[in-house]
Amino acid sequence: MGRLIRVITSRLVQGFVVALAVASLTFVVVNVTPGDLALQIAVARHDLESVTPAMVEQIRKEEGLEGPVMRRYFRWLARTLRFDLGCSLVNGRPVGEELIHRFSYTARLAGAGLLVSFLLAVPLGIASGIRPGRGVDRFSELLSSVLTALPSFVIGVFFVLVFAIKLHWLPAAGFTGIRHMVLPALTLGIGLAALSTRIVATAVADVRSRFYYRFARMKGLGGMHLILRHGIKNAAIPVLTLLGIQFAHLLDGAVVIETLFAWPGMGRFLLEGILARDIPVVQGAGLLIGFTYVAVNMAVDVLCVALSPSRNPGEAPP
Amino acid sequence: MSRSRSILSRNIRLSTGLTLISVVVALSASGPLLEHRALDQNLDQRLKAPSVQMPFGTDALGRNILARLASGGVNSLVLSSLCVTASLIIGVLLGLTSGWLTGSLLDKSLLRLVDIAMAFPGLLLALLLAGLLGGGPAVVAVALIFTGWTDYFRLARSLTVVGRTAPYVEAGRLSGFSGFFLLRRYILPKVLPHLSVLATLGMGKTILYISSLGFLGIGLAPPKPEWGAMIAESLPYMRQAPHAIIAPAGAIFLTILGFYLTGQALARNAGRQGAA
Repeated sequence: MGRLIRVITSRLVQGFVVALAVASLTFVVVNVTPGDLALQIAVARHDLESVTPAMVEQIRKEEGLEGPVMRRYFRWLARTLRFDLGCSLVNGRPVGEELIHRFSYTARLAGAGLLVSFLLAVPLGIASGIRPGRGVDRFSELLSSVLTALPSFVIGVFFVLVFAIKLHWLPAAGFTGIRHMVLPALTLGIGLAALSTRIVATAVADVRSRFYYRFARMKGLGGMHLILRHGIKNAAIPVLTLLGIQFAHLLDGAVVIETLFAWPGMGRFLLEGILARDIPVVQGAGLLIGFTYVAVNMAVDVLCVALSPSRNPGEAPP
Repeated sequence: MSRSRSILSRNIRLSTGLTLISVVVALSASGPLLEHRALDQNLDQRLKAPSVQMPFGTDALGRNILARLASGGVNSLVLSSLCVTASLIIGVLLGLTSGWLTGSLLDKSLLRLVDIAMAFPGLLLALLLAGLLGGGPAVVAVALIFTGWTDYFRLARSLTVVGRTAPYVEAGRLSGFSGFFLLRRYILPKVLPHLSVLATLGMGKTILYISSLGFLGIGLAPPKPEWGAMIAESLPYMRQAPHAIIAPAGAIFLTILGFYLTGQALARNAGRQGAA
């Protein structure tokens, strides 16, 4: 139990620090770069012609944008920690609503990408790990060397050139049907599989060399039962640990892939916010991405503690 | 048998990697000579397919793609070497100090700082920093160093924590040698082979980040050529002129592959030395 609590607290602290860092960064940007946030909010709410100085002052008061720097900073932090994200400076819509909408698109893309990478990496990784150094292993090693050197936008552009432009099989961009999801999901999944194939292979090869596995073989177990019961279960811990790293690749890839395929997800929302200097959008998307990342890592930590056979000293065996 | 085979495959990796890096460096070395051609627009020559005069054809503004590749290569290579060197120096100095003073306040605060830098996926962090602070080479460099130093820090720290309790280090400490001397004489040589691996792989990763940032429209400002930005600029013309995309995509791929293969070969070498 002790380990579990420690793992969860440290991730919760990390989540809090992420919120603090995003809020501080956006605050610095608002205060250092030229431009008046109150004026920008006023223009977003009404329109450029009808804004009067009185309205700007009104908004400055309402939004807590006046007073000494430190007071404004703490107000800004408090608002962020209450998830009061405000409205977009570009179209005046509430950032929170838009985020939920965008998040669902990214989740769909991520789910499909993970599925693709799972379907590729698990069979190929197991086949490589069972016979290290042989043909399949060397092939998958070469393949993942090549694929890790390909940025996701290069893979994506290649797919668009071949499948959308040359062969006309699939649409190049958009988000209306399942057909639109094939190319982005493949791009994301192949990039992820490059890494996870090797992780699975190493984990399987490691388990294979362990004593309990050799013992199970000596008992006369063989084939699928041996691999599933003694192999996969024990190989799962390193694979899970690296799932956290995988997730970082997934989020990094999402920004690039969503931009390339015009997929209306969270990553593209963040990029649009950055390019338009739409601070509330940047803040909202940054917070959500950071929290998702920390939450996934927390889940991975908890699963690892739960799967790990080693216990704390002094704790009764189950 | 299997051993000689693994050495062979390591040498193939190393030689392929080094060849690719040399080709890219040689191409980029001609970049400064081709600088004006990389920016010269010629609207009669838009989106021309590769020919003898223009080995990689021209882009949407009739600019010579080969010259742009070379010129973009200089920018990417110089910027990423700077970032890797700076991250390495910062990471190693802090890592050695932190590992030597394990458990101290400094060590604890540095570990917290690493936690913060790693609480966000690398490219997104660089995107957020570089994008909000306004782009340009200096800002991109700061963002990449901030995301990059943690790897070197963690490696140097963990090797120092292990190394400081070794008998010969203890003996040195009892003989009255300073911590600085012991770190430099006994710990640093253990860290260096691993660092060369990490730095080579780091070059590949940094080039990947720079080109991704360029592709997303953040980074080195146009019209200065950048490989990722060249792809983004040519996307609307991918039907008429796929070569304008394939050329920079190939350059990115081969450069990163070169660094990764070299790094992997060095990693096996370091692993073998460590095992021996």
